[in-house]
Amino acid sequence: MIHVLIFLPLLFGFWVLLAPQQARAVGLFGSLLTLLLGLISFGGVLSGADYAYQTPLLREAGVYYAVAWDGVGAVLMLAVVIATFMALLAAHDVPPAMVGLSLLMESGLLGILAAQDLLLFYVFFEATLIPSLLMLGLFGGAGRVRALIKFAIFTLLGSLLMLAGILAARYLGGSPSFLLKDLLAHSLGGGAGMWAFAAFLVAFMVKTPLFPLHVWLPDFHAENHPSGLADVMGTLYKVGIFGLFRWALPLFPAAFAAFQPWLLALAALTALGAAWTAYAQTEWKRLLAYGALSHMGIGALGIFSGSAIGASGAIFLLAASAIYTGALFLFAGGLQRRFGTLELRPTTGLAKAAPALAALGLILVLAMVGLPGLSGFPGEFMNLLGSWQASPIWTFVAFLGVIAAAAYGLSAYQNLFHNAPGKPAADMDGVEWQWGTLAVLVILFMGVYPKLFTELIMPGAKAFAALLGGGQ
Amino acid sequence: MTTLIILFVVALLTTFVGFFAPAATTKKLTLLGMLAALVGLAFTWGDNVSAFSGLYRYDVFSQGVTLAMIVGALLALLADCDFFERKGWPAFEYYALISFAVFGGHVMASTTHLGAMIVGLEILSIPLYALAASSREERGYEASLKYFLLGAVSAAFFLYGIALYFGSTGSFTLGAEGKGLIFNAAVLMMLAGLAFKSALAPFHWWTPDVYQGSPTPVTLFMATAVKAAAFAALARLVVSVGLGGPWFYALAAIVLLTVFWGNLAALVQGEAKRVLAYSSVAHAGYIAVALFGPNPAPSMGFYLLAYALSTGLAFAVLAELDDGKGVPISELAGLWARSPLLGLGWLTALLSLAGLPPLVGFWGKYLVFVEAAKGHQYLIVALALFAAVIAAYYYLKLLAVALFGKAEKVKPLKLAGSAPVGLALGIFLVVLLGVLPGLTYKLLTLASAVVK
Amino acid sequence: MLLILIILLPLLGFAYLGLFGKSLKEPQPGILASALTGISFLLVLWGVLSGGASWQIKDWLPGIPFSLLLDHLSGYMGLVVTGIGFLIHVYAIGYMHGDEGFSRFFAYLNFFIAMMMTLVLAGSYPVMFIGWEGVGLASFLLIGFWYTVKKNADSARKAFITNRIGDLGFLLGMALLYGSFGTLSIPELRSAINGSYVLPMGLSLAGLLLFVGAVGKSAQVPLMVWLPDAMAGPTPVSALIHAATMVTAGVYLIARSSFLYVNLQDVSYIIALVGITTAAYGALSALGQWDIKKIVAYSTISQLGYMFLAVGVGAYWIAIFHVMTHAFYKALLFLASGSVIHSLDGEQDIRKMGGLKKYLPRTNLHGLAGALSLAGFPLLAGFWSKDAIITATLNYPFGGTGFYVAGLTVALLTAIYAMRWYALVFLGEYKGEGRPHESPAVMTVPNDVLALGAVFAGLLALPKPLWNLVEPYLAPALAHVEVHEMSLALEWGLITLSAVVALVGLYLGYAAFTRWALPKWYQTFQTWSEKAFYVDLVYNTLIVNPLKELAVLLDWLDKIFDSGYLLLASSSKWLAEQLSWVQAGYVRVYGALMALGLVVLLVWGVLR
Repeated sequence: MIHVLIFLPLLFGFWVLLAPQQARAVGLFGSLLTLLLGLISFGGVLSGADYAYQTPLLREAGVYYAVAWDGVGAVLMLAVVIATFMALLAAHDVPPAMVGLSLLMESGLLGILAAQDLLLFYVFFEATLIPSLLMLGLFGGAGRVRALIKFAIFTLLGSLLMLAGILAARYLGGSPSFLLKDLLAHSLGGGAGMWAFAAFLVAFMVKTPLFPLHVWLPDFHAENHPSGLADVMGTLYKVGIFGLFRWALPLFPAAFAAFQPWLLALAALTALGAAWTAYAQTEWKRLLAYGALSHMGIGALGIFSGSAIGASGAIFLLAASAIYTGALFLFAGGLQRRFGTLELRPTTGLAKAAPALAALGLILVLAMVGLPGLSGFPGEFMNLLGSWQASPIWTFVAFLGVIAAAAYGLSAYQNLFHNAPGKPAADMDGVEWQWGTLAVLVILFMGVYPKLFTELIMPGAKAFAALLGGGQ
Repeated sequence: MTTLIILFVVALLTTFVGFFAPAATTKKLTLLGMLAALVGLAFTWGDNVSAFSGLYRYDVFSQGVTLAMIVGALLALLADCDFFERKGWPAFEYYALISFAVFGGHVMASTTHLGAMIVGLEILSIPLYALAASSREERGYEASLKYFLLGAVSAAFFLYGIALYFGSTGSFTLGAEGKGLIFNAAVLMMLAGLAFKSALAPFHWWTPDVYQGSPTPVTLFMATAVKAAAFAALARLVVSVGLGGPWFYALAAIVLLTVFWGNLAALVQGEAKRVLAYSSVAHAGYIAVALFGPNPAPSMGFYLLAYALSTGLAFAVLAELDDGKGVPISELAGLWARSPLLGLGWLTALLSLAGLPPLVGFWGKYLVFVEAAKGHQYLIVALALFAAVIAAYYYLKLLAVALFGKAEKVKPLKLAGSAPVGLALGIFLVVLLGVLPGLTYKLLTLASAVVK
Repeated sequence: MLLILIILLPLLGFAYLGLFGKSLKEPQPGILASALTGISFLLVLWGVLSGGASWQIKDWLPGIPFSLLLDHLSGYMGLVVTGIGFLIHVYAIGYMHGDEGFSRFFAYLNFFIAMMMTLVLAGSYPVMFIGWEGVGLASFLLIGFWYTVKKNADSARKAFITNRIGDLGFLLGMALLYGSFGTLSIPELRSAINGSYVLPMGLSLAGLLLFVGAVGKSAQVPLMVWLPDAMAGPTPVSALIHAATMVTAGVYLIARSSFLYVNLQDVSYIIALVGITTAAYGALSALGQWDIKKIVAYSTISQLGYMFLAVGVGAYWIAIFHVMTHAFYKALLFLASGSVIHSLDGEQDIRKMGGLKKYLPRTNLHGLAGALSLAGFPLLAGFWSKDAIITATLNYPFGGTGFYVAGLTVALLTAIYAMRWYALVFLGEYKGEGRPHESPAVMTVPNDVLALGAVFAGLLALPKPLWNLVEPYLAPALAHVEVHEMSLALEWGLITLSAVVALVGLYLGYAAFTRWALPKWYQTFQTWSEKAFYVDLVYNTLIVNPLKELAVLLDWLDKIFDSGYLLLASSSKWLAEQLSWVQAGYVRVYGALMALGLVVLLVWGVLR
């Protein structure tokens, strides 16, 4: 079951790549099937089913193909399958190969979430880069090659250093394998632990991303295919917070304790700085990129707080932002389709001509702003509660970004929809209704009934906090 | 023994049959011969035999290296090159020379006796000097001559090393007890001689010029099979003397110099073969990283195989584009559109070289770094990995130009002769061994240490 | 279940009208929305009469339940919200007649009621925060209801962002409370604080932070700038959200948290100080306005200041009492203004009004009742509640004579501007063009009800020895406060004083703005007051614009960082170029370099 879920999109991805005539139908069918499997698995995890499986991949080197769905993995898995389906639903006018590559990425992402072996995690983590690069390179805008190289170099800088860290973690720590449970039992401390932790940190800071390793992000989004499909997949690929939660912090609790004050500061500055920078953007995708960056800063703050509630907030935020940030990128894709540009122009006044689109845009923007009742809030709030216990000052700094979020979110929204009507444009079409409804339903559900998810996340978060020596 | 005999017979046969039969027949014969050698390898895999009173040592390490060499040779044989073919190249000598070189490489990899080693080395090298010039072009002659002259210098290093070794230990067999200045000098000189063949800095100078000047299939062969043989000898040498001596620092310096020099210099090259030449230098450095572990043989074998597949694939792609003047990077533009197979091959090859999973190159890197980690040489691991980030830049640039660049001429490319087979085989193996590295790594770990 | 229904009904109304409202004919959306609000009112009433209720989902967030609570305080407040809300819904059917966005308007109004009731019924702070932000959103949507005008859209955004500053305080306050007590449920916190002998450190900070939230929502100094601009919304919105209900949420929050503030004398003092400052600022600014709604808006700021003065000195029930009386007369004033605006086809400048008494007899009565009640005309609702606040500054624990004097002075100002408003609009000669016409019954009847409230609502709580229904009713939900008993003679003396002040103020206002020629210094004051003492200008210059510049600067810094990395990358390229210079292609060079390499190795290896 778990293998089918992980590799089903891969299969469909290759199918689409090899037979691109029916790309949309096959892609949608594949992602829908994955979504259904994901829902079933999620239900299974809720009712306590165990999907764990392991078999040696490289027996001689202690590498295992070990996968499982724990609560945290299951929640994020659900976000991935929903977001992918939503994105494929929305992006109806993309080249067939993009559909295929998206499905390949989906497989990689599910693998990242399921992996219980550090090296397997690494393999999935890196393998997902390939379709992502191809999507950017093949279908990106004019500056794609520069953006691609920046993205790839930052990613590889992090992950190759992490590989050194992985080796140190195992061979210096004396673990018999790369399995999570073995590594946890042979935690590496001391000076070596510091260095290894730093290596992991760089990798995950690139992928969170956090200041100052975030510079690839705005270009990545700005240059990607305007449909938003690649942006959604790219958003899902920002698994740094998950990596910190599952691997980096639990493996090196001592090193983390030494780094913690600095990390909190870094996360807080990212949250505030990015939110404020977003305000100065003149282009939708760049604005969204910085907005998402700011949220990831808040999420990282929750993780770095080392508290159970902060960590579960971060995971929740990650899952929620996969949907609403993704949907916003798709929304931006719709704007591109309508106006041929993503520039934020002050006089569009679109709400008159396209009231339904205005409503959708408002809900998405408000979810990003973190309005309670929508999916952006519970994660942010739990992060707040957790990080306050670690550092009130940096929490204050980070959450100043909440004010900035209202400023950039609403300014952008009003620039588009309010003021005197300018050039009219069509309201939502059938496809937009479909994915928009899906997005709104998910956003509302996560906002109104977060319990379903937090209950799954909490046990993992508590174990995480216990490993780091924290209490609540 | 079987493998040795098969390879020897193939070399002899191709030499003589060539006089009577057309080149195409010789080619088929060589291919068959290589396949036969593979079968021979398969049937004798895991054997550990010694023959000719210790001159010949057939163990898992030599089997692994020979496998890598044969894979390289196969790719080189399959990589037909439209341009050269129209000029009547290759003649049957090409196949004979390659057969001899493989035979020489096998000998070199399967001995712990320094005398046999230098014989193998020369059987390997001399055909290469000829091969480099085999296109009968100005650039080929230049490459050949450079290779020959510098090769002679390195052979001299190696020979002096052997002499000093015999002087200090009274033996020609690796693993003899020895210490003192003379012994140290002997090891360092042999190291330098072998470093030349495996293209380690600062003895790598010939690599870019020769790789660039030779016909691309020949370059392919040099980059894969020759490197494998050279490393086999190097590994046996280092393992036999251990890492305790002054050569530890020498080796560390060589490795780090190699990975950084290779990768940095590759950044600014304008010609694809030259980039890959420097990349080959850098990879030599990565392979040598394994030497810092307690048991370098399996990971080294795997890396050599992985590297042979990946870089072989890359050169096989370039062979299709080579029009005798090399392949400027800008000419790669639109590769995907011109021939999807070449595009895919280029993509897999370069990503594998860059070390991205799930391709075989990743596991190669992973295994050698693990080896060094087991030897607790984390600084070397970290620095070498850092250099890999630099490498990513030029691989991506090559990739980006080929796949994402705007093509000026979108004339579809017709692949010559057996090239599609070679390309498909290469792609298949790079991906397969990337997903299931255990398939071959298991073979390489059958017997453990390099035999002393 | 009852509680969730109270919220759900208007929410469903919002959803239905939002999705399908376009297909309904004109009065239908209004009737539907009004009916749902009315039913909510009845449900609240039923809940109040049946003695309260509570409802919760455990572990809505880890350790934080989603809990609703109907007790005396939330029941009282809920009745005010849904009751006045219902009246304003009905009024709006007439007011919004013919507007393109008729159904959208009622959808938003219903959404507001749902969110306001969430705020009121919340049994824990996070739930209150949901409502808190929800009403903020409703306010944003309704201020910017006519979004095609840039000014309206900007005002809406300004309101939301200013509120967000306060919300940050609320959020951080919650974080602090959670950190100290591990819970955010109001009853649990209450028993935790009441039960602990030593209060945790930083509790004052928590109180202060929550108060910052209240300052934002209730437009207190220094976050008051959004409320006057919020008048850009349709008038029923101003009445409902920006006078009667939402803006009093801050007061409600403090009252709800009275168990906390009663222990925090320092914070309470700050609250009172902010309150009286705001009251004075609002009154002074109201004096110079020419826009009929702006006068009422600044008056609202001023009246909210009174309420904070009340909670600051510890007179929680009086603040809540004033919330109710204020809701009546201020909603009335706004709706009367709306009626005037409606009849003048959108004219809002009082210099173009005057003499409307003749044309709008019903509205004239409403305006008079509202203005007098606001001015504190003896025996009207506003008189009793405001007087209670002013007196409370003397006998409640955190009060002081300074507060009393200031409060009384502001009361004088209040009477003056209230009279100015009434006199310039309804008395004298009509100075505008066009024929004013009285509004339809659907607008005047709700005003009749409100007028009754504005006149008689004060009778619910009279000073001793007369009856007081409000204080004992609210007592179980509020913190218990020790009051210095005042002699009856003194108390009634003070009441008389305040009545005299109100009457003097009314006379001054009448005389000054209809008969006297105003002196020079007043002209200067008039200009300053009209511009609300240039606070907007100061904020824009000192805060808003620098922050905008900061955003640009940060963006620029980001690019610098980007180029920094680029520099790093190109430096390795530079290095590479130096390396390839060595690789010149000469065999002799290569040979020499190899030999050199060997020599170095040997020298190093052998001589070491």
